[in-house]
Amino acid sequence: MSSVMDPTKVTYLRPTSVAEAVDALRTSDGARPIAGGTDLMVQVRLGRRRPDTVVDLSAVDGLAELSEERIGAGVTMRRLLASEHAAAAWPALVEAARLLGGRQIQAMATVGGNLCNASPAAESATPLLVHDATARIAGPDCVRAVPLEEFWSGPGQTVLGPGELLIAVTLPATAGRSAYRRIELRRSVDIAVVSAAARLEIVDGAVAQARVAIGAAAPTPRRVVAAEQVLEGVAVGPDLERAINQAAVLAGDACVPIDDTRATARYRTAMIPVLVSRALAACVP
Amino acid sequence: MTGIAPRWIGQGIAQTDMRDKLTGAADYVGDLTVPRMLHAAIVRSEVAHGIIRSIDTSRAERVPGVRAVLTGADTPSIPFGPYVPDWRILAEDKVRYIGDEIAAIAATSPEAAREAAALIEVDIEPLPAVFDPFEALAPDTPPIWDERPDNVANAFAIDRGDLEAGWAAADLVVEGEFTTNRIYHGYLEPIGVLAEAHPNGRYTLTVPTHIPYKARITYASALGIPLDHIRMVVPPIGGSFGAKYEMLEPLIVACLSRAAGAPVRLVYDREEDAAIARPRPPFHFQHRIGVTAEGRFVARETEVTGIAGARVFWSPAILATAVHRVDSLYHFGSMQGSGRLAYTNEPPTTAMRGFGNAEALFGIEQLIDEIAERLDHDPIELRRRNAAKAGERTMHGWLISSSELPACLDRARELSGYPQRRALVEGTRGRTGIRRGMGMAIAHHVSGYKPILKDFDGSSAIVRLGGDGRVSLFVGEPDLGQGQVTILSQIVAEGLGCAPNDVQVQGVDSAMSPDAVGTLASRATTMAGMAAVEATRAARERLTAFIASGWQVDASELEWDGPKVTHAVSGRSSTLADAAHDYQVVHCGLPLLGEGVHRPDTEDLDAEKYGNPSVAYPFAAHVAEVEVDCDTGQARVIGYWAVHDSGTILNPSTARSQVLGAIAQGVGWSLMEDVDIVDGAVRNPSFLDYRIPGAGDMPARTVVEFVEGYEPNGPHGAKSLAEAAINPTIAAVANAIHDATGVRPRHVPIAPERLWEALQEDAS
Ligand SMILES: Cc1cc2nc3c(=O)[nH]c(=O)nc-3n(C[C@H](O)[C@H](O)[C@H](O)COP(=O)(O)OP(=O)(O)OC[C@H]3O[C@@H](n4cnc5c(N)ncnc54)[C@H](O)[C@@H]3O)c2cc1C
Repeated sequence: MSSVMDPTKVTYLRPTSVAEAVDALRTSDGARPIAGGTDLMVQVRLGRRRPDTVVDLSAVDGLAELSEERIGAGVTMRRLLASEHAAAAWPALVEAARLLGGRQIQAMATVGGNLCNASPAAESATPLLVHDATARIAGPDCVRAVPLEEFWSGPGQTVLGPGELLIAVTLPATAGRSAYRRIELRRSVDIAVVSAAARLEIVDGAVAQARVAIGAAAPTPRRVVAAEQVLEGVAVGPDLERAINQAAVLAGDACVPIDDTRATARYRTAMIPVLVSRALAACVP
Repeated sequence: MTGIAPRWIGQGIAQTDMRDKLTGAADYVGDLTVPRMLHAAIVRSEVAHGIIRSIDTSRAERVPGVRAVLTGADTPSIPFGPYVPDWRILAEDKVRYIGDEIAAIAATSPEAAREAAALIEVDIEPLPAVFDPFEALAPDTPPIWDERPDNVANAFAIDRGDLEAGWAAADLVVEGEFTTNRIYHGYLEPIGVLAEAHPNGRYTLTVPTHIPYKARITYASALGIPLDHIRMVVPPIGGSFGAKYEMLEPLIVACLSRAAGAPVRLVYDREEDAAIARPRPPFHFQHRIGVTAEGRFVARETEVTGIAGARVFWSPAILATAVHRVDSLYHFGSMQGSGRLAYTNEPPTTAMRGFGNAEALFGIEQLIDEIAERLDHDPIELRRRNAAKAGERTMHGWLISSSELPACLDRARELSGYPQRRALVEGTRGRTGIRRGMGMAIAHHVSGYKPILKDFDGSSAIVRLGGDGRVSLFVGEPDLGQGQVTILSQIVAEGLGCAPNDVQVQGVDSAMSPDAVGTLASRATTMAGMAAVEATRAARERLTAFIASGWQVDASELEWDGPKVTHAVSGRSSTLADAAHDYQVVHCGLPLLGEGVHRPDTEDLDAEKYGNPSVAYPFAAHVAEVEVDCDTGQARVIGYWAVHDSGTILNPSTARSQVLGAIAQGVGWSLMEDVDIVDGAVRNPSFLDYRIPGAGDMPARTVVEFVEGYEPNGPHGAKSLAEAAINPTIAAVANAIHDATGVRPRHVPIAPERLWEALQEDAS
């Protein structure tokens, strides 16, 4: 039924620098980067993508670097899971990495691939949103930075132009806790039905900064600024509990989900407040 | 029984074919290549119902590598089918479901075949399609098959006892509607076939079917040729669970091979396999049970409506099971049951492990819990009291030759702590937050079922002891991966004194294996096992007699100890292998053969469907513990206790695997598995969205136990196991969810969204 890509008809390139990779991508309109391949190869097998050239990013210098404020596009979920810094600084992201696929997938799946595949359900998207990540993009002309919120333009679509590559995401040092929650239909290996990430920075007993993001609830992962606003400035205690409930409702209002074989839009919309309040509650010390 | 402790029976030895399967040495259909072999692809309807106006194959024929292109006009046009002659090799004038086979290609590569398939242009005039069984059966709905204007694919009715008196005696009547869904079998090996049409008009079909001889009858009638013109060869089967009974694909590929003049192989990929999957038929049940204040069942009524799909595969037998099998688990006093299967414009449905019994129990076992609750009876004692007991004949004449169900109930209670433990958490029942609950269900099944193919109700077996010392066993029941070859090896080894690994259980090949109904109705271990016991005994006796005459001693003075034989008086001794060698030399090359015929003591059902169709009935009591997140509707099975009576456990390791597998399938069925069909199209034909449970979904605590039992009609006291093991699962989980939340699950799967909806409704 499916039509298999004939490997003999595909050009395979393996650049070793960003500049070479950008050049490689420009050799053909049908060129496509490949990182872990855990999205791309499935799409190729199902005939949804038919690249004539694949540009393997695995040897590109610096792409897999992980530092205190930078996650290279080539960093795998397994790397994140092994990183003490990630666990301490970005708990929501590490939780998302733990939920993404199974062990084998985690070994191959990269942050860059997850973001560039641009699924509204992409596991790493909402955690990176609540950590105020910026996408670093290299292209034929220049290197540019785009706030992650503006990185996606629709399901499966990013702002990357021809020949452009996601190089890394950078994250400002943030304080406070973050958390990630999702609804899945199966506990072993599944795609999120809906997801939510949250971060609260609490200073002197009150919320200094709040972030709320929702996944699989709209054409792209998105932040819910209205929900963040009701939380900021609120003192920890009953007021915060009330504000969390309010934020959860506002997050529900921000949903424009779809009906599909996994869930109805109605269920997705109803689950967002549940997840948002759980994620927020987990951020309160 | 000799009284000597068995050497191999009851040993949990590793499966004898496991090494080959794990190392890739086992050759499944997809591994087989033969010279000049071509590859097949099938063109399917994308319309649920319509008239074929034209098919243009010209572009497909020009694709390089294409060797044959067939449409309905090129294949024999003899209506056929296992139950109803509504099968065609390729669609003739109409298509009746999305996926209906319209044309087929054979080409030198799978890619060329697929490319050609995509170039076939089919012009279809759409007709109104029907997807709902009740709508299909409604008076004015246009028929899918002109031969059946009412869209009734099959009907089944049965009644017994004085129902009026039963209802009159009832102090309490419980009733309810329940539905069960389509389940994809989810075997590892997608469907495949290798067909070779020989110039002399004969065929060799290499098909992973578990009922090769029954399938051959269907195939011969479709091709209009005598039975013996088809040789059926069964390769290793990578799982089936009922899907690979009689498939249509071998006929399409046989015709392609005839047209192309070369062997042709077809192997589905997962998406095609899952999209055209012939799943478990979905059923709608209306159940009603009457009970006295003391807790004695006195009346039962059931009305079952199911979906056959656009063609009838094995759904009629499943319907009959769903209507009346439970009457041999419990005494209901009197009953009336009826069932109908609707034609719809959807993929045909067929057999799957549990075969209608699990489906019926889903509702019945929930209603029994409701009775226990309303009468304030212990749910275990209520079941014990009404269950059929060893030595009894049930209302339809089924003879319970052995039952340790009472012991199963006792052990299930002891191991799980149900229902005392349930009482402890009673206060936690509710509709918000995280809730826990426990539920139980019991079940039984058959070990063979005579009405399926009366010609070969029993089984036969041939043991071949070669001059090289090799032992082979030939039976007509293929192994599907469930471990039956291991058990048969143990049986032969036990009787001959060799080791199980010395015994090769041969794959079924109609050129040399005995005929049989095959592996279905939980019959293989019991039936083929009994035949193997007989054949082994015959081989041993023949060999002993041969040695005795050679040594000029009395056979009764020969004593076997393992593979060694000794003459007690003279001390002279030999071995199995040496004696087998001598036997062959003396017999001019003929290996020593032992034949076994097992003719079970079952009965033909009379006109009222009364009689005992199975030699034995296995029993099970299961308890499930669940945790429900009421805010999201997500339920998890966190504990599971399964206690079984399958008589003697021939191999505790494979038996345990069967029960664990059944629990996994039961967890999947009750919580997540569902073939999602909308307007006739399968929306989730892949393991991404057809979810089977993974390790993380299995209960952290799983206890499997077998109570001691002995079935007089089975090999070494054994009876069937694997279907009885899935039968209580979905009901046990449903009862546990009710215990946790107070919500009565009416449908499977009890998926998060559905449970959440129910919690919302009940809360408001
Ligand atoms: C069994 C299984 C389970 C899965 N489970 C989950 C899950 O739970 N959650 C989840 O979110 N996802 C899941 N996925 C999807 C997938 O594994 C992830 O999205 C993964 O992070 C993709 O990364 P990759 O490196 O494999 O991407 P690839 O497949 O290599 O690439 C994905 C896409 O991004 C493009 N791309 C990759 N890198 C770059 C770059 N640096 N610049 C520009 N474009 C780029 C590619 O061209 C391609 O279009 C699952 C997949 C499988 C097969």
